[in-house]
Amino acid sequence: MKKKIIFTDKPVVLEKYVSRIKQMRNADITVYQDYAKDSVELIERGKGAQIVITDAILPYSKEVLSSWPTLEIIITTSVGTDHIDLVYCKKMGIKVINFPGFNARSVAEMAFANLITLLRRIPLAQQHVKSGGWKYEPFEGEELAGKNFGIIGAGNIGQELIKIGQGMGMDIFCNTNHPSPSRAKKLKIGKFYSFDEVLQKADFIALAVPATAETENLIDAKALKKMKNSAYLINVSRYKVVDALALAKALYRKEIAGAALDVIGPEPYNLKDDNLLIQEMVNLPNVILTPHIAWNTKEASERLGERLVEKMIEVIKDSRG
Amino acid sequence: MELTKSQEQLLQLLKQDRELNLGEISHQLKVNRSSVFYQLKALEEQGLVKRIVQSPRRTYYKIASKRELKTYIEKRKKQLVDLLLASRVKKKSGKPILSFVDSYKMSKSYIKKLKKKYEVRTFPENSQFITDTSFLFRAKDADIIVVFYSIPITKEFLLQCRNLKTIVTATIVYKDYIDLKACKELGINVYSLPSENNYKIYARREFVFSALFSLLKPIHQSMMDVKVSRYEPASVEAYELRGKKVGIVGTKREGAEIVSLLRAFQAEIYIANPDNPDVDLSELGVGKTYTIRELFKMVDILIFPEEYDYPIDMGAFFSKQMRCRYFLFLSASVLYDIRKLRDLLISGHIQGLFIDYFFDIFNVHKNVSESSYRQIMHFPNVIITPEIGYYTKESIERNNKQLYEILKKLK
Repeated sequence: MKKKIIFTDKPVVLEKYVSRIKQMRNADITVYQDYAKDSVELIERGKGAQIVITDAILPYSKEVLSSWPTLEIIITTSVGTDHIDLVYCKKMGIKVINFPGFNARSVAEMAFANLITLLRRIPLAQQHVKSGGWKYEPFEGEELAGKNFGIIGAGNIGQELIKIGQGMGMDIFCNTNHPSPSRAKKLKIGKFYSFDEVLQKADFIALAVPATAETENLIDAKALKKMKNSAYLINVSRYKVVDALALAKALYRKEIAGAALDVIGPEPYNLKDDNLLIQEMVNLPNVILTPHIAWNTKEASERLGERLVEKMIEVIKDSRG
Repeated sequence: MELTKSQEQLLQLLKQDRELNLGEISHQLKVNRSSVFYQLKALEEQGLVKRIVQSPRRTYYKIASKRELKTYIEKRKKQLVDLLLASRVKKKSGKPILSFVDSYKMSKSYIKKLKKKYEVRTFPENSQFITDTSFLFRAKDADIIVVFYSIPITKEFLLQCRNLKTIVTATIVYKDYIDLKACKELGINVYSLPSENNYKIYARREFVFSALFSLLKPIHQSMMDVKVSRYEPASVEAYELRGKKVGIVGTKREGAEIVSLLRAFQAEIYIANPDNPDVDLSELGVGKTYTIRELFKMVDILIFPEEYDYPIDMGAFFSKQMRCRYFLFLSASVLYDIRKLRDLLISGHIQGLFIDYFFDIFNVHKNVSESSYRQIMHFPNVIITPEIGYYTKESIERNNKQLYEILKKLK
């Protein structure tokens, strides 16, 4: 009997991988080419599915999941699973599959790219030239070598950030929930630091932690006050990790020097619907905000596509792909 | 009016061909464009050479006619005499006068220290480009001048500065804009910043990465998207640096530094050393070097991070068959056919272009309005910045410190 498989959102994997999945035997595939507007539409899309494939956009809450009594497996084409009610899934025996690490390098590179773009004021300088200017004086940059690079989280992304930071001649100050001398030795960082130590010592702080109850608002007003006035914050994890309003206030009060954010609020995100202070923050010259693109490189998409196909073969246990 | 050797060479060349553009002169004399430009500017100011803007894309130089020459010289002489008479400033103290003649900025703490030894003159105008008459006004009574921006210092200029004993350059390279022979004749000492402890190398090597990532990750475009409520993560086209084939042309200074940093990003590195192809690069972990032509065919990204003693004319290398898709021009002396670049950008053969240097910095506004630069600078995959590669807080601090050390030790 064919398994009913539904891509409830526009697939983030490349079309060639969707085609390979479509060709699999014993699979009845439905693919939606846009994002469900709300949970009502999402429920409608997933009806009758045994396997749903989703991106981390709308929450897979108890309300949604309980509407799909036939559901056996959720495949999320993301690293994080914070959009899925895992407690309910466990209770109901629904298997959840994610893809840890597929985008770690892309995200780490993006964190670094955002930081260095911010420090060297490239977008502003480019705008200046486009409008007919040619002065270097307004674009005094800052260097990385010899500075303290704070990394919160030593998972796949954190480890990539450590390698890049070391390569650029920065001193690494890493914090993790699972510190040990042997792990520090393996990562060649000497030792791990407490969260507060990282806040106080770092010139740049990159957040590379999953969204959990423990990490929600990890960077709040109190944490921001502990940071150096000259420090920069980079968030390439989930939006919930940073209290955006507190960050906006800290930037206006010049409690920190700048911020590069790849996420800022619940998705799909619309800046116009956000708090006015946050809208203003995004226009500051020392702030970079990108639309959750850190993971999305051609290379990461290829890796994700390959792994998704492999996983599909495994779960369907039959393929021509 | 005595000319430098390179100015004589230039005039000789113009006599043969009558009308040549900057690129042609640079190519024929095998001297970098900025150097040629400064020499031409000096000759133009002396009235020996004329610049002719024939069309928005064609600017030529030719030798001035005898009549033009005479009129120009008379006019200039009058201007200079007027200026000298009008601007005579008396020395206020018995200390030597130290004049910061251009836009160079020394921190207040160093200025304070220098005031113990010198009568320091700084000028409030914060302009990146100053005229030659302002330059003379600022320098003429000084015992020591500090120069940062490469305004040509000719014998004619030096003869007007009767007290001048020392020139200190806040740059490492100075031979192409100071008439050293004239300095020697007039007993003027020239000091420059040390090349072995290059103040800007960290800034420039890191800038390469900001340029690289600006091309590989559409950060600027994405920022604009968020601001207009376009939030489509999946539609973005971005690439990892890891695993890319990166070509570097030149490993004398910044190039060598970049090689080691690129290893942190696990890129594959290929080197061309056009001025010294046989140099041993085993210390950098590089076993073999290639020609620039080979790099065009082999790599994904090609970086020109260094200045050279002669120009690299890349016109012949650009083709639709090349593999290279991203170009980073971060130094002077790279000659590129901007129209060919534009065509390859339009056809999609070049996916990204980063330029931090216009060869003709003093006429950049004219160039921008006159040439294909204006067209390409608005392409979404082209980034042009105003020569900011070296310009960081830290590099300026190092520069200030090194300059202060020189000034402190002067007798």
